[in-house]
Amino acid sequence: MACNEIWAVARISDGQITQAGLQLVGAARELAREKGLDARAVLLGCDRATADDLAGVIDGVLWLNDERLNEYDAAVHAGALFGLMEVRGKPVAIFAGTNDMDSEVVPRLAAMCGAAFASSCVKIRWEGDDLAARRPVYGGKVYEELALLSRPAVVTVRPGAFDDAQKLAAPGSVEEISVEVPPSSGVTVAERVSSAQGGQDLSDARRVVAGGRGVCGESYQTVEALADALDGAIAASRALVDAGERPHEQQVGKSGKTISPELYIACGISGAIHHVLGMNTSKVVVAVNSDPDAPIFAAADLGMVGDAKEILPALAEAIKTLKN
Amino acid sequence: MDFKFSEEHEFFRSAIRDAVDRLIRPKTQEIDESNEFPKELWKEFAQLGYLGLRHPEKYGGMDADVMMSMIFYEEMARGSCGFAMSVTMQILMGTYFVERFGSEEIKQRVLVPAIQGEKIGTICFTEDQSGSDLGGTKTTATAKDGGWVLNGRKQWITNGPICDFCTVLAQTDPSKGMDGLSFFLVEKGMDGFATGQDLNKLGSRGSVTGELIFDNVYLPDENLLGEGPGNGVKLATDILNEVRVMTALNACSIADEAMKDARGYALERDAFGKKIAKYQLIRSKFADHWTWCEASRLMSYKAAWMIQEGMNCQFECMMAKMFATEMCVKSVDEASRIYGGNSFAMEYPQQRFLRDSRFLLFGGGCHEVLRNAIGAAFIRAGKSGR
Amino acid sequence: MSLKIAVLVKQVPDHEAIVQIGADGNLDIEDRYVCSFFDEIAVEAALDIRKANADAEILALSVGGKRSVESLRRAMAMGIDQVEQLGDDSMAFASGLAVANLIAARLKTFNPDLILAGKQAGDDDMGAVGPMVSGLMGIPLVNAATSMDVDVDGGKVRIAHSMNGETWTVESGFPVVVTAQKGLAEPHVPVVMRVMKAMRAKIANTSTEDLGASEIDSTGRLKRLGYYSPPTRPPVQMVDDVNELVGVLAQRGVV
Repeated sequence: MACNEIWAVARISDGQITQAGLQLVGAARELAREKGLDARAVLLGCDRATADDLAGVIDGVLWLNDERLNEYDAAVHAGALFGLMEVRGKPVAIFAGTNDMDSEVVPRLAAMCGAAFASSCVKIRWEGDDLAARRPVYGGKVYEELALLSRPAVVTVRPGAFDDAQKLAAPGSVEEISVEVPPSSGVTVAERVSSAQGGQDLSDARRVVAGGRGVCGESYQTVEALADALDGAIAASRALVDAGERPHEQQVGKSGKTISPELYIACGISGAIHHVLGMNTSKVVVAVNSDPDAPIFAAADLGMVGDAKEILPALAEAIKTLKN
Repeated sequence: MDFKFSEEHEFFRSAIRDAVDRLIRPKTQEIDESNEFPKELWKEFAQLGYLGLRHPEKYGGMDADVMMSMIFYEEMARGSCGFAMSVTMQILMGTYFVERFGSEEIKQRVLVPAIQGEKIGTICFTEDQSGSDLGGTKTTATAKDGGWVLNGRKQWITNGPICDFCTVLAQTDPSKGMDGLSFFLVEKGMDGFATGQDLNKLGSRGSVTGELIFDNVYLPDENLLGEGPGNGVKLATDILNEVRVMTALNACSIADEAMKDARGYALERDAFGKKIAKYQLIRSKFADHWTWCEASRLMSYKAAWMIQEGMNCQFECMMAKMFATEMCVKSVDEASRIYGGNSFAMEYPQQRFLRDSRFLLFGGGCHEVLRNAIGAAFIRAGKSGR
Repeated sequence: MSLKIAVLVKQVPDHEAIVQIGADGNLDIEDRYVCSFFDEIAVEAALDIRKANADAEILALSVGGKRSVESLRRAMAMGIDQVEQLGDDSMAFASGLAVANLIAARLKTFNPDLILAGKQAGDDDMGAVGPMVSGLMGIPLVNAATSMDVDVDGGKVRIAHSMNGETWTVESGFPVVVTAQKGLAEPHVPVVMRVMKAMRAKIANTSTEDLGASEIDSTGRLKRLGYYSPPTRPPVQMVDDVNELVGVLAQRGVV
């Protein structure tokens, strides 16, 4: 059984559809339109209001209204999506985000249905009747393009790869669907601690301020203050993480996170290749460094030479002034 | 003919490379700048078992073959030239005759702790007036009371100022010249044995080098290493073969490191609107380096193979050493030209390669002497052999 | 009870290896291969568990040809005695799905309590195998663990991992698949005695036929269309003061 749909798995944060989720919806709409398919957002659990919200940007929401899906469990979420395929048929494609949840759920789901899977895609297009996905490999040294020859084709899409879905003139429908939900996998959450100051998730943040050796020790506060002014997330280079100054979930680079925010400000970071590979898909990159020959400037759109410790507070002030 | 390393040797190389990358390379600059012997690193390498690399398992060693020890020497030089010199002195020259000729008691007393890194060893050839010319050795050992009395001074001794024992080349019968030389084991604490100051060297910094002084040091007869007196030169040839190939491979690594660093620079540095790596004159430097370095490696590993097979390869080892270290000096020079003015700045590594490369020219025989020996052999044999 | 642990490893180009697109459109990869960064962390994590539980049994698995043997030798040099190669050269470039299928087939008979893998491999960066093995075996999954505390007698494991901006500490019973993130363990430099033991060891192999997986599609239904250079940025625009910088950022709509 098959259905002529592309599904976008939407994730909710603080009752809002994440920006990455909006972009997935945008991707599903765009690619579905080209082939006359239907774009659908899949909502796991949550409430009617969120489902209605989502319907504002897509023709149809498949709302798996089951409270057992409200708490995250990778096996349960993968099982519910598998269950949705059972009742609705296999879609042409399933798009999900590169967030921590879907990095567990989606490859697991792909294995359950023997589907072609590609992660961290930066571009998706049609190649004949198959989807072709472009993605960085070897830490971003090169990109590959893969055709996904199965139904469904399962991909995770990097933030920034597609534009946010625009509001529809008339909201789409919300279809409540009941699927078989597997029992809990037995993974229970004992504790949840917000790890980043300001509670912003680095992976999904629109604006990121990252600090390196040039802002070590107390001067890292200037990074936090600028992130605050920008309403962005903070990050760090490997130097600060290896020195034990910052937690590794804040590390950007080959052995840390790969992110694609709209704005990335690298402060006092020399720009070693392993760092650049983690941020070079950002939309706009700003580099602030005292060494005019630092390689980070080669990876930046805008550069400013000087001591980050002095420039950042001034920059934070200028941004606050702009906002007011 | 098979020019491939075995899968085993490839795996061994990857393990050494990893150890060098993780343990030494983060400290390369610090070792060079401080010129201090890196004690902690020494302990780490001892604990990992590398100081016993080529010694028998019976004494806590690893029983590696010649090829494996050569791979080790080559990779070590990618880390720090100075530290590589200290370690290879310990593994190869410093313990060679102790293992080969020492009594069981000597081995337990000296070799076992050396493998564990607790005692540091060295070998002494060079003197004030002699180096490559072993026949000029002035240090004497005179038979007395069933033992030997040692007198003389040795210079340029790697690990010398911190050594716990040393193997000393001395003249037992001055009338016989080259045929009167023998090796003796001298241990710290013996009356009349003193160590001099660290030399402040241009390159290979972090290995401590200095003078050893022997003033009427009495040695029991078992401290004569070698089957009777007078075998010194013959025995020296065996070890010099390995030392020379080792030095050649050290040179390959240093030259390669310099050129890899220059490659990174050439790919980033702009001149007249394009990256300098796009210019033919820059490319030719990489081409020449690769060609010479390839030749050096082939000569080195062929000589290593001959040592392993027990073949007579004195001249092959000399040629490899000479060719590779000259290549190194030239490649490092060219690498620094790619770097331009920045090669003169202490914050970039090029200056270190320049200094270290000079060090390798002299160890294992200066090239004027080696050329003389090789040339004489060529004339004697009429042609180069085969 | 004695804990059984499976560790999945893969040999990949060193992160500093030069990777370029060749004239024929295929990749030119510098011949410098290592055990994948996160896989080594998984190996060390398994060894850490064995330090506290001496009777824990560890089996390292790798799928593919000659290169997979190298990564198993590495695992062995680090301290794992039991290693096994699955499949042969025909699986050297197999997709995550095919690899996961072979591993799941092998693990059915090994029956591990804990399956450890790197969160992603340093070549395709796909992050597929760990989650796929969990899916195929129908067992729980915890991705990108940064710390792990095994309670063998209690039959459970406590794991910390990052989850959408938070750090979650979760508990799971056995069996469970855990993938390793930086921080989970600090891989040690192996002693040379183990390096030489690993170097000389004969590495066991189980063929796809023996695993009952000879029909397996190694492509995972993926077809590579080509390789491309990373997108490049226009030359950097240098600015002299913060107001100018903010002005440009506002113009580009990012503040």
